[in-house]
Amino acid sequence: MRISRRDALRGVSAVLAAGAFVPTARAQAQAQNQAGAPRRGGVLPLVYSVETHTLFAPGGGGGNPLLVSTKILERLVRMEHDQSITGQLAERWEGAPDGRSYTFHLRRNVQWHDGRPFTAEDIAYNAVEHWQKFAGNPAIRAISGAQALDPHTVRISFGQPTPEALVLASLSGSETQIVPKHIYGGTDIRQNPANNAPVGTGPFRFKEWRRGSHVELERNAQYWETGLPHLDGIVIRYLQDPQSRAAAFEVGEVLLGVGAPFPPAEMRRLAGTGRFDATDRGGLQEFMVVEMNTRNPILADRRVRQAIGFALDRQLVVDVVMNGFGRVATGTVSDVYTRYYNRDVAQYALDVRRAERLLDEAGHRRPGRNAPRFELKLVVGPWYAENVRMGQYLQQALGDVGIKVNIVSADRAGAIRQIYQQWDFDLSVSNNVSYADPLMRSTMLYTTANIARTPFRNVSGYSNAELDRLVDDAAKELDPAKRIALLNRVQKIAAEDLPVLPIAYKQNMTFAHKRVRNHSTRPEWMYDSWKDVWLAP
Amino acid sequence: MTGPGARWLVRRLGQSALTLVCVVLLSFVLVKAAPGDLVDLLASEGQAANEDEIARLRALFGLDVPAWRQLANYLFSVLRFDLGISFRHGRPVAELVLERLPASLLLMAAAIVIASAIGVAAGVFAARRVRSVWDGLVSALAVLFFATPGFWLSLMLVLVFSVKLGWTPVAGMATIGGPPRGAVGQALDILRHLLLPSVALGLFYAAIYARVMRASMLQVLDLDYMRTARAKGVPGHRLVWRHAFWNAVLPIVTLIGIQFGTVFAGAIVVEAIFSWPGLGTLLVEAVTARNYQLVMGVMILSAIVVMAANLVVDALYAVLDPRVRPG
Repeated sequence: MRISRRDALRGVSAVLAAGAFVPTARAQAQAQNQAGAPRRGGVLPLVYSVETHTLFAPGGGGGNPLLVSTKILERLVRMEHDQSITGQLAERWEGAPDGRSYTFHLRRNVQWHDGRPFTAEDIAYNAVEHWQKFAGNPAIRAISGAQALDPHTVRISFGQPTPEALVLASLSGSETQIVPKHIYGGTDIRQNPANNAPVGTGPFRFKEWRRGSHVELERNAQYWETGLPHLDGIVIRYLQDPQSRAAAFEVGEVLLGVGAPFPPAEMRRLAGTGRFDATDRGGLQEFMVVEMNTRNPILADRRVRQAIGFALDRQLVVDVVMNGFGRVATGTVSDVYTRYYNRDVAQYALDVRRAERLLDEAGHRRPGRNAPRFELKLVVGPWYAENVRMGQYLQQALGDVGIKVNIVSADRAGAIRQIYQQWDFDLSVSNNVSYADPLMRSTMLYTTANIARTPFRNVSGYSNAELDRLVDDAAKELDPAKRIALLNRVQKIAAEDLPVLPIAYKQNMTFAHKRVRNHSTRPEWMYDSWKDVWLAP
Repeated sequence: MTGPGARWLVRRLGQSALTLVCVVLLSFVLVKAAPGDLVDLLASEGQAANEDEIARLRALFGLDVPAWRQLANYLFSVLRFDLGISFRHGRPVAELVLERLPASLLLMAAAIVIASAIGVAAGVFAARRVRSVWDGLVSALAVLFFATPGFWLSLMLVLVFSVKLGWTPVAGMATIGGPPRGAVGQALDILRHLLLPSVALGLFYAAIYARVMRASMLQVLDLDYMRTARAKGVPGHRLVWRHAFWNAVLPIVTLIGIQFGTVFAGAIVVEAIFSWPGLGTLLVEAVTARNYQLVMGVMILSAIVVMAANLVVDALYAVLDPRVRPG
């Protein structure tokens, strides 16, 4: 395996994190995990924290239902580890020259789990009634129609020219799963009973959901790709307590855990036993962010926002607040998505004197020796313990440059209401995700159109006509190189204006017993179908 | 049916109904007092893509009207024995709650059996050897288990008996994938899973019962009729178990009745650690999701269980001590 600079950098942070990890060991582990001839059979016991409330939710519905539904329901295309796109239910596709429609040639002889044939009508239904209505992704929202040309060909139209890379990345994402028209057609998708017993075309069929305990999936013997899946089934066990999850791993009751299943200390201890693979390949590109409310006149001044950027030691945040399981972020586009990631943007390394100077220039001189320049209200999204620690660090670090931070405590629902519904905050500690294409989420933190009382959008109230125009252009620029140039410029402006301060990407570790093979093979692997995963004896 | 027994029952049922109304009101106020609602949470999970969608969901869930009208609507449907629908789960609340009830009852019953068996035995044991080393040891252990937090005890039990010794499973209520065949095999499988959580939950109460039983036993042993029995030459163990025990155990019965509710509360922590599929985990999920229909459903059902348990205990009291008459 070729070791890229990024892998090497992340290897270094992993060494800090685990002591035991070194880049070459990482590569070897990855090679071993993918080596050997696949073996049929075995049920894979997976552990996850909070039990899902439903097995499928239109538009994805967050990580919890997705973990289950992505094994049962499929998508048109799939993203590989090198970020190329391969066909799933679509065998091949072509776009119209004007980019306003895409024709997908569907795989033949695909059956729903209830025996009905899968056809182009299913896709036409999903495109218009499911994806378009429930997705947050603007490219999917722009679908204007879908037509089954014959039982195995479907044309999806868009309201404006839409670049192929954006269409395909969106269709490989988590908002465009395919549900059967004969079960969902004419119903309220949200309340359909099949959401709790999904019927799909995927490699695994729904078998049983014991509430409060586990979900059991069994092998789909009629799966269209002969010989797959390798596993006889998957059992998803919900263990709320992190120590119990670690214990279940140790005694072998579970073999796989995704999304950083244990606290850092346990991760380090278990990784040290040598019985497990620990990797952040395949994890969601989730990052920690400090959102700044520009409706506050103090924060409306760019110099103040930049000063806050210079006042924080984000490497310290990674090492201490995140216990080493992270890497400093330069923007809301993850460096994993190499096609779009722009490293050449304004950087904010710790520089207290520069921070103080910027604050002075902005007219906020210290009124006295120990008196604060001004006060800010910080609301922390408490869904991760590290966010709460970050809030404390923020209070301390900004205190050093003369900004008094008052922390407001709330639980998940309370914090969401206060930050994203009421905009009643000056600073937040929150999280967001970078997906394969920046337009799928990353740019939503900045554009004027996304100033809405909807969680995880542009909550800072930042508005910049040039950035808006660049993002609009990137949504319809068909030339890939020009599009990359537009998105690079967006990242540059975002880093200069800094309405939100990206702190660090989380290492969303996957823990797997060494018997589990062929895992973590692609971006967002936890939401892959796992048809090629196998268990060594 | 007439007579004091029937009148007592009618009065108790009336009190229970009143208590239930208070439970409903209080839990509604508490859930509504917390900031945020279910739609906030759904939106944060990407299930409402824009402001229109958010408003539409609020209307669909009945959250767009003032709180007092939500309460009125809710009470009205409860009067028709309809606990409503959990939109988050897409299923009726009654169904969600009732399917978790057996596991909760089993855990609570097992914990109470363990607590009273250990507590009573230890109390009698200590009382018979009052002010001896053994008495001191029982008291020390009682203080220890009384002071040990439930979650810590649970984790230690898992570490020792599941991870180190491998005697019991780590979590869950039954072996997944291949539970033993046959009713006996399945029952044994559940018992194996039940052991640690019920001990973890029961030991705290065992500690209380041991202290109470010891004091109660000492008091009874000192009474005049005991001296008479001893003077008549009743042998020691018969004196203790036949003459003293049944009088001394009455306070324990009272305590069990009173503490049934707190056992339920304690079960929430233990259920979370052992992933026991009971009401506790459901309640926590419902509160964090601001799913008030589900919160109220769990509260109403658990209130009914606790009140029923109290009713049974009071009736039992009359059986154990013929001097106690309902009324």
